[in-house]
Amino acid sequence: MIRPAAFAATLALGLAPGRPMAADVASGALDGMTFVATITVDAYDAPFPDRQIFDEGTFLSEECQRRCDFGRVPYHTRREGDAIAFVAEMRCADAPHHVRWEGRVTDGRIEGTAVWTVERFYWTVVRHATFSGVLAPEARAAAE
Amino acid sequence: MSASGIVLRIAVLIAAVLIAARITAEFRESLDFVVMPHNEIAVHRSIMLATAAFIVLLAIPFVPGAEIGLTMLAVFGPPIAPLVYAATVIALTLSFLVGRLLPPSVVAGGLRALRLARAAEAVETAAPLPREARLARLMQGGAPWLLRLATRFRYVAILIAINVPGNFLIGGGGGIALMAGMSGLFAPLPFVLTVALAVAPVPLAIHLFGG
Repeated sequence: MIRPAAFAATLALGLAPGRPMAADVASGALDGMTFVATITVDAYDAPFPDRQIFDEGTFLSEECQRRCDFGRVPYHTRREGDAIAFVAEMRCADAPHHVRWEGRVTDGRIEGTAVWTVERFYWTVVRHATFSGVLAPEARAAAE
Repeated sequence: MSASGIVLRIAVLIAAVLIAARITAEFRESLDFVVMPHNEIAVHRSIMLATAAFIVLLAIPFVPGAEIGLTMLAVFGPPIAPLVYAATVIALTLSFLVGRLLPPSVVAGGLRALRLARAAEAVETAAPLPREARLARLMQGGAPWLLRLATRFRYVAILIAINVPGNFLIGGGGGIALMAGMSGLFAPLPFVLTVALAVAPVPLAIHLFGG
């Protein structure tokens, strides 16, 4: 059964689940790529260093993992010109935190936006962030 | 008191609440504190701990607890106002139910066990009094007109007593609710509704104007 978040992510990319479109790229198109990235959250000056890992059809943000056990989550892709766009949604196992990632990978660079939401019974807080980075040296060496 | 005097006092109260909302907004800006992904879990734990302490302390007569709620409002601003409001209503309802359901000797004993001699003494003094006299005692720290009001419109009197500056002399919100419960003159649901109305101005002002 497809998860609601994955379904929404798929729709957001213009994909129908199980029915790839011409612009789709193969599942796991970004697998094997690891990016050394920086996340900048609105209303907060200091950027957060991050390693973003695509592997076996899943996406992992080490910064998110360190802060709140988000784990590896499936990511969905489609081609946009020279870029591969991706969407991933993750939920923390320990707290009602949710992050939606939307990004593009072009020529060894990654960039995009992330929306972090926490829903407590007394408040809902939403923070918008941007992220960008380059292939990690080891991933670049492996690719070459 | 004349009608113009009442209007003037209400206007002063509204102005004070709005100024307080503005001051908390300025204070919050000066703190430059932002709830962020990396600190939210710790902030949540602190809020839960502070809320629990706020409820317990506010419910106890003669113990300052309101400051915790005001601090939460000042630090976290409008988003936290509904929680502070709910916690205030819960605290005063708790105190009311203790006064209504437990024998005064048990309440006084519990307060003495907590080394809250002043609160215990207030309960012991009120215990042998008839119901109406307990209500009159409840309003003792207030103005004579408040006492007159209490005899005819006791829920209105409670509403005012909770908001009168200096009500710490009669035990603060917790003391007022406890005595109201002990008096047996207040039904639970109308009392809770009265309290819900009485404690609304500050959280409401912060929620609406404290951004």
